[in-house]
Amino acid sequence: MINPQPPNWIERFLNWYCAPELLDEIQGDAHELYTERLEEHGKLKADIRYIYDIIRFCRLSNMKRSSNIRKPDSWDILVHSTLKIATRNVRRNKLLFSVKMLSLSLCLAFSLLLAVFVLQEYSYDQHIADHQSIYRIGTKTTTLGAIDEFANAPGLLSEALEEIPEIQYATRVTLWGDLMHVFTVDEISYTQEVGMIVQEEFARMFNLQFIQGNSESLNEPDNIVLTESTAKKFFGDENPVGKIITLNNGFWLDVAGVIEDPLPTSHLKFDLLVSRNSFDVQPTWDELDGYTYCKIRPGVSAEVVESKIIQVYDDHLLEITKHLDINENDSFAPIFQNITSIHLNNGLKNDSAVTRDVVNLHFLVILSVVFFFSGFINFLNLTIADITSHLKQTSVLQIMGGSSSGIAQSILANTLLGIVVLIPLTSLLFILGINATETFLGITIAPSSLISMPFLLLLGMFLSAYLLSSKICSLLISKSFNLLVALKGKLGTQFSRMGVRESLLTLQLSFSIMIIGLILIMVDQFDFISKADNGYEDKQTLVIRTPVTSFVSGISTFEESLRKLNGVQKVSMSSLDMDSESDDRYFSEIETNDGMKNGYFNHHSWGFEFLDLLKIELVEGRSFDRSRGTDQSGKVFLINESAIEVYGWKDPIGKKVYVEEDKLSYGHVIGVVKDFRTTSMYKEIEPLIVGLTNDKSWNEHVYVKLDAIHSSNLIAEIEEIYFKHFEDVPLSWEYLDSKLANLYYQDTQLRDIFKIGLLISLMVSCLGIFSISALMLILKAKEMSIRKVVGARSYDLFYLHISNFIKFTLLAAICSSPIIYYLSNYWLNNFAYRIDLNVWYFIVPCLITLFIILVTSGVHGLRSSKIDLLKTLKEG
Amino acid sequence: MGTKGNHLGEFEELVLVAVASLTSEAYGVSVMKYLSEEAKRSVNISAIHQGLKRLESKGLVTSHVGGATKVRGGRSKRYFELTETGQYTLKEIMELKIQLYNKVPNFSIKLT
Repeated sequence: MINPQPPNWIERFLNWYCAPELLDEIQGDAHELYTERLEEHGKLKADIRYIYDIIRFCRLSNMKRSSNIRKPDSWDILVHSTLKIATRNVRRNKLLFSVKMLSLSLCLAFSLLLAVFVLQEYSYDQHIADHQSIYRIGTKTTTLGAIDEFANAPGLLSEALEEIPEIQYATRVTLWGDLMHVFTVDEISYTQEVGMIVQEEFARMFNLQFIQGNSESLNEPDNIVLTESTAKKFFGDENPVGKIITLNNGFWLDVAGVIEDPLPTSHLKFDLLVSRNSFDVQPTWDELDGYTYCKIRPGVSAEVVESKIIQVYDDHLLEITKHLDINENDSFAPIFQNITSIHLNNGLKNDSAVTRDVVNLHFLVILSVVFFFSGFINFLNLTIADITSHLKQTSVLQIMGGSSSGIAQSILANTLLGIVVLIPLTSLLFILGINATETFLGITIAPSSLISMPFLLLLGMFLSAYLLSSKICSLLISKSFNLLVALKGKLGTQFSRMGVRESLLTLQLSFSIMIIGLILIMVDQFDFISKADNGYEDKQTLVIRTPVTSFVSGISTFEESLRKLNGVQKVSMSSLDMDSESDDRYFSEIETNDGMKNGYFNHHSWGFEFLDLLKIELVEGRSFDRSRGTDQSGKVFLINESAIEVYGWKDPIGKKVYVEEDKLSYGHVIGVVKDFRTTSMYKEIEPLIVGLTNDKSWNEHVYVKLDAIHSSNLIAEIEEIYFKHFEDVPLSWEYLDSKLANLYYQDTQLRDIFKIGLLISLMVSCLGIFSISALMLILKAKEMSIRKVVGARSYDLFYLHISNFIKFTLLAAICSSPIIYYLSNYWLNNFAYRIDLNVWYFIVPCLITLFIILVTSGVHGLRSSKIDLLKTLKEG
Repeated sequence: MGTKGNHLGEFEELVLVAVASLTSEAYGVSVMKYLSEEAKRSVNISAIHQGLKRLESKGLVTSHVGGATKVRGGRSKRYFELTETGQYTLKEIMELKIQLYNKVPNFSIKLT
């Protein structure tokens, strides 16, 4: 007879939770009770009580616990032996470990910094809801064969766009910064604020968040809406709504609302918004005025809308070209741009958006990747060399443990130990870097960029790449691991034939040469730009902005009084703005070989002394002359050399020019000046027609040339005269050279980034080569001593040590040169004015690398040549 | 599990006494039965185990494994025996208690 048994499942439950060494007694006692109860109470009750007992036995002290008995699993081995060995090795070889970690962290942190910057640049305007369906419309003009691309569109375009059914709504934004505006609040004046003239749709389209007031107020006349920071600046902690801001022309605006500051990743930068209805200027078709944005309906393809807008341009061609004689090749077409692509397209004229050159960004991406890889290869190199140097230990461990994965585990232990150091160190460097870029380069990394998805993905990638590196190491080594050979302190012969370490070293050196080479070329190009001949002298020259009202009160009297000052050499007014990307185009008519032609030409005006003041060279003819009575505004013109070329004039002197602005009569070209720059080096110099200015036309600037040595309060005297003439308008002046530096502000930023990159890459190369050569010395100590015993001189040993590195450097130079050539050409072609690549750009990086090698490994070479024979031979 | 120093709790004391009186036949089930019959305390078997374990960790009892029987499904018992410390502790507890009870006025206890 089979005795009834307790339910099977509860037995299994007991077996599952109970510690094996307690199982017998517990199960035994429970069973004994069960048998008794079975007789007394029957099966059901016995079962129930048995289950109850087993459940009551389920206590922590009876449970299976790994610590109850020491059963060595892989984690234990890792923690108790391998990790201990790893820490011991670190302690023994502090220098190597810190070099390894520091160089990897430096590379990673720099690479991450570049990456977060690039990601931020690519994420411009993506915070706006429906950014995919918001477009800006620019204008591409082809006149007289010259193509110009403008960010602006005709003023009436936005109204015409509203009639296209696929477009939800359109709006026009006008920059209010063209004229100098003065906002007066409680008798304090502000001039730096950028204003935009908008309608309610603008707030709707760009999702502006109103803290006070609402978007409706932008439809009422004489309303102004401030950003939060501007409101704080103007009114402090007071409630700004309802306050009045006075303008310098006597008008006033009501503060109707406050909005949140635009995000740093927004292409539109403004401090205040003014309602369009405050102005009674009617937009026209024939003037490119303001920026037109439209939002297309959901589900509509952009191509359809674009073709309809092209149609609008064609329909209104006559109105757009009201003042122009159209040639058959001339055309006007829209440029249809999604707002997210505005930031990275800096080719448009009159673009007030914050833009960046995309080629430069590509370069930052390349730099980031190269840094990432060079950091890892350096790390791999050092790790492999490090492992080789204590192979004996690991192989002893392997024999004792009998596990075939001994080396892999010791590498894993090294990796885990590394993470503990790597993550905090990299984070620290990264945070320091962010702060440094903000303080020194003026680049703000928004916190939102740090938690953006792509950046987090990148972080994950970096970490997994690091973990992968340990896998690669163990793979490389296990392939060539031979216990017997390893016990002798060497990697298998197969390994050395494979030359893994050698090729990694070569790769690392090529990266170093590449980075150094590329950065040298870039820094050189940027220096070339900033030092290049602009065609005029920018030193000791003051540029004073003249108020809009100046032509009322007369600017020539102001000029005259400045001229009388001690220390002032020359004074001249001009409409030229040397640092403006946009240029003033006026409708003019010029004489060509085929008769009179008209179109929009780059036209400026300046005074009699301007040419002398800036030392612009005269090539042909004569300059404006005060003593000749015939030299009057609208009668005489100068042109630059580019104009001769573009207009095809063989004999420019005496050619007729008619400029709409001075509605007088035809004038004549009297002279040709050498080309000088009015835009950045990215662009070609454009043809220019210069007229003589007069008191009645408004000239934005007064240029003042100072004596090289002038009294320190000269500026104060100029200020005093200025306020005598224009008492309500704050003075705004700048030195011409610093004004020009602003033109290359972004380039200077990049140059500084590259310079820092150069420094870091030099440092990492130094550290890497230093530690590798130190390890070589340990590995080859015996060889060196034997060589010495058989009669090698110290010099020979030194040479032997160094020659290895030199060989690899040459190999690396050959590998990296084509890459340097290709990449630098790609970048340099971006500039209209560029340096030419010569052979030195390839030799110098190699020389620098060689120098680093000589300095860092030379120390070890010297040490190896003075090796202590007895000691090393005995130890082996 | 707090064992509050080396002091014995009331339950632990009972178990200790049970082990002492069962001499060589003290194991989980026998201790449980002894307590339910002699002290009229019905206790779950798991609590007995816990008590025995605690006593062992305090060094008052020792244990050895043996005595697999058919009733137990072929599983062995863990027998417990008093150690010298256990015996001493038992004695000490008793003396302390008598000494204390004797100080209570109008209350006397007869030792058989």
